[in-house]
Amino acid sequence: MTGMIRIADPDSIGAVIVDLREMTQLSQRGLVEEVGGAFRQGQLSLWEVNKGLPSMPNFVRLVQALGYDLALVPREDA
Amino acid sequence: MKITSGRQANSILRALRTRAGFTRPQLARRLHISAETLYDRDAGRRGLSVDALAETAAEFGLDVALVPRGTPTAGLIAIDAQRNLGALLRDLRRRAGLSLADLADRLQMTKGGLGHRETAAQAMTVAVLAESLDALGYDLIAAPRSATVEQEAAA
Repeated sequence: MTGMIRIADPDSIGAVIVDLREMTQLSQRGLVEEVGGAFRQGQLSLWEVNKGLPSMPNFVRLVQALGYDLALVPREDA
Repeated sequence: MKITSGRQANSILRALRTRAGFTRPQLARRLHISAETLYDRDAGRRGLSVDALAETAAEFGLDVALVPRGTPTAGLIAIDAQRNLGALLRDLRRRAGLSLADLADRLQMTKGGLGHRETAAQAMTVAVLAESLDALGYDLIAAPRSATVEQEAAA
């Protein structure tokens, strides 16, 4: 998973977080440390199984800690 | 376009709405939310959820995506000695849907200080340029000259 990742469905966010976290070899605790404790490990574990979604500020922090930027891109079918 | 903070996400969606010519009630109806909720979002008083961002972006033909950090999403912009950096900053800020006060706040500068730099009344240091670009979702990079020429040719 090295190119752009399209979030076609917000329900796919949990799996994407898990994939990127494992790719960067970060534990849940490690990721929480990377974002300076902006959210708790318990919250992260819920997001990873699609039980709730992070707030926008936390999602931006989380994505950037995993080496990505959040962006809006033209739809493929648009 | 890159989203670098929750507040900027609100600003971008507001700019997309106005650019598309939607009134707040029109867009609110399409999103099945109240016009008051949309008003609060536009004003940055109400945070966006990730799914609200996705639903709203879809109305403008956009998807939420994660892109590797540093990827240019709006093309490379050549900066040379002739480039008016203040005007560039102002254009990028407006394109991002940020007011002068929004960006000044994020840069922890005064509105007047940022305004002086945008109008080139005050020289811009590389540090201020890099920080401003970062806040607008751009990286200041040195690229082979052919890369920017190719981007301009393709535009």
